[in-house]
Amino acid sequence: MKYTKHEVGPYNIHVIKTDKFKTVTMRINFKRKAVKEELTHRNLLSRILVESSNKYPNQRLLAIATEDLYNQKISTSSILSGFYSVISFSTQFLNEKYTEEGMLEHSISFITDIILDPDLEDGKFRGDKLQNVKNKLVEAIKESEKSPSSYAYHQLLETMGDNAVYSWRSSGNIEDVDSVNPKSLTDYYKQVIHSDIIDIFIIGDVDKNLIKRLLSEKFLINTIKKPGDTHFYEHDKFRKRVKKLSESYDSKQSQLVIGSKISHLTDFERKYIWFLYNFILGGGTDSRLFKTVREKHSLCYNISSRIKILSNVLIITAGIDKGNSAKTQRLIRKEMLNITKGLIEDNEIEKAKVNYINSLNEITDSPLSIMNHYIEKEYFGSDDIETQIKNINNINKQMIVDFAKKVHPDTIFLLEGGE
Amino acid sequence: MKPIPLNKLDLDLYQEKLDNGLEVYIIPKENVNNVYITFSTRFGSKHYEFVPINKDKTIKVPPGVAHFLEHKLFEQKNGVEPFTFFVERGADVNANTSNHKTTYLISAQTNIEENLEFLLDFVQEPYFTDANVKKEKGIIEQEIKMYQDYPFMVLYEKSLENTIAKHPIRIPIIGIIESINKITKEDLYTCYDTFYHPSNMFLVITGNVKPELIMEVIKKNQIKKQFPEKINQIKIKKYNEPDKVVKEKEEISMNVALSKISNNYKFNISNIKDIPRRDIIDYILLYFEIKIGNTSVFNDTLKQEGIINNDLEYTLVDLDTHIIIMVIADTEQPQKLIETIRKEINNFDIKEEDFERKKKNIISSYIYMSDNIYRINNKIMANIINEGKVLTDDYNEVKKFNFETLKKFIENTSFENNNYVIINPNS
Repeated sequence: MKYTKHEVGPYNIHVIKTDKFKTVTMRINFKRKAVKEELTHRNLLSRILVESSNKYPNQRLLAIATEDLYNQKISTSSILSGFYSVISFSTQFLNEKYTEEGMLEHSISFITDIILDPDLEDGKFRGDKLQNVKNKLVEAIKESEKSPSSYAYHQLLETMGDNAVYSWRSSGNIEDVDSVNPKSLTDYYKQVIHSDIIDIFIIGDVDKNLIKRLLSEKFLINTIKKPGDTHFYEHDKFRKRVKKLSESYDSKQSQLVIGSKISHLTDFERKYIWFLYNFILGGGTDSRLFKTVREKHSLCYNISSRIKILSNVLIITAGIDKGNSAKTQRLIRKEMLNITKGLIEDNEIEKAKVNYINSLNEITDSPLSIMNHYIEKEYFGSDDIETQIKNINNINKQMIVDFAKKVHPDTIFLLEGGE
Repeated sequence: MKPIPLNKLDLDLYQEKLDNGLEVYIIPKENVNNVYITFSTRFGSKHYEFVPINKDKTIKVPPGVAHFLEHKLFEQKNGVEPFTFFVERGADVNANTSNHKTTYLISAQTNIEENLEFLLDFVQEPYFTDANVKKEKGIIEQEIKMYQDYPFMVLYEKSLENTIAKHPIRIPIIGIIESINKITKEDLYTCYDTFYHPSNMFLVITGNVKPELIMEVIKKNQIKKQFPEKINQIKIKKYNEPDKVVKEKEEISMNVALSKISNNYKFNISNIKDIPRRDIIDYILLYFEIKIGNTSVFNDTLKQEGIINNDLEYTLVDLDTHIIIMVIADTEQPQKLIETIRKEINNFDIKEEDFERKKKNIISSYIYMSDNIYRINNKIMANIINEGKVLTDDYNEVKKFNFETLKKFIENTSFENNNYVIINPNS
């Protein structure tokens, strides 16, 4: 596997050459500092682009084209990544060794056309198509509000965040949808093309010079981009006393979500320690929360913790009966405190390390994982796999305790379901 | 063991049946680090009326018992918890229960022999007590409630209940709270002794392994263990499933944003003799794909008219003698949508170019699959459950699909026997 980065002016091309896969996987990322008012535009833009192109002016024709291209996969997303908002266009297609000569070029044209040669009317996106993606977005937002776990999660972040970037919804907001019109979206599209930071990642058995040439012909953008800034959000306000909220909801099960803020991590803690801490606390079926709350006390089926390291928050979620909320909270608090007090077995740390290393070794089995690894290197300054393995082995108990002391419980939200 | 090539996929299959009846399938893939091992029994949610091993009368155990048993096998007498054992060795472990089988799975890169042996050991050493059975009821009750908050699961389960009269698939895989509460440790042992005999089980291993070495580990492990004499065929109750759906229509309400519909088509496929069973299923799926899939004019028109925002979806349920195709969508106009779907399905006009393009698409999807040890493993398991053997030439299986056969088959098939379920938003 050989990685090369080519800075070609308007964008960077990252080529990862490997003959391990029968596919070629490609992602084109557009990023800029997130602005709340722009998120709805960004979401609608990514949706409308991926549904058609000048050459294939509706979803059906586009879908037929993907089948003609031997089942080429195509998708898009618009997400928040710390301080940044990232629109991605992803595609995967078979290496032409398994189809027919010339397919690499056709498949690359297919995705670049979708982005740069959209189906416009009088220079603007079509009103009927915009209406269709608006309907989809509104449906998706409303659905997520009707899902107990997702509703509880967003309520928690909004309470913790006080309108900070990590509490925004990457989907945008229903209230902003109406204000988007063909002209505003087209103007925004031009801004994205000309001022977002663009990175193109491609992995497969491909020739880097050929890829460079194809993109210089097909992905023509003539601006020079400035380098990016940090993605990591730092908290500056911490509660002295945990805020507790509850709300009743039309569901069978209650959702308990607990959010903590993590303060001022060192670069090393942010890269490594958070994984070990989370793995021990609630990262899987051998974690403390799973063993105590589920296996020992039968209080739930699902319980887990996760750390959103770009936002420096820890979130614990559990589906429970509401009558058990106080007991569940006590058990969770106790496990968190025990780690802070240093009550950690050496063997727990060892298990976390082994699993970290295994997840690193697993990266090279899948093109998507390899791609994400290089995206993390580019955006967050992650270390390469060998360095990570070396560093993880140097971690000791005190480092985890020091990390635990930086975790500050902030808000507890109980969404009360059940009869 | 002689390798059997999987046509056009650059993969070889090694298979062997051990003396105790356990079937082993290995597909090595040297250019990855991981190994994926699945250990399955042909015991799923549909097997709750059967003649237990060494008995002669059919008994009925509480529905949901297969899934309950899956949870309980993670309990070990000597106190070594499988979750801990595998985590210590950097492996992931999990399990799942379907209508047709139960599977225990691990994925690992190192200590493969040790991990594999422990997988065999923990599944082959049950330890059920009154106390640990009781403890699990609280956990599964929460799992049931979690699913009851998923609108798709409610729609799916209600559709099965209203479409199937007798076959056990009409009851959710997980069971219902009342049936779960009736399960005893004796029920678990009865099911375990009958269905977890090696002759009813199979191992599928995909990834970076040496087949001979792996086979030796398995044989050494199995030869140490004593099993009751194998039974040739476990007697499972047969159900005389009627062709008619149970209930023509039902509307329920729930906390959803938009109405959800499922229009369910039931077919008796046991009487068709001139086309192999698996081809019948593929032809029916191809028909629905061409008629209502995301490349159909029909799906496109519904979107343009604002009846749906997202593509129609469909899924297959296999009841042995019958199959059900559920067509699922979110819509603001449920009645109108169901009416138009019914009309479209009964209009047998299809084009050969669509058919040929879909075939090409399916063939491409096999090449995608061959890059991924998890998907390869899933294909092998599905083949064993559905066909009783591994299909080694999917390429030609698909190539030989014939447009005229599809047309003739569809023209002789009745799509009249269908019903619907609608979930409406709470008012």
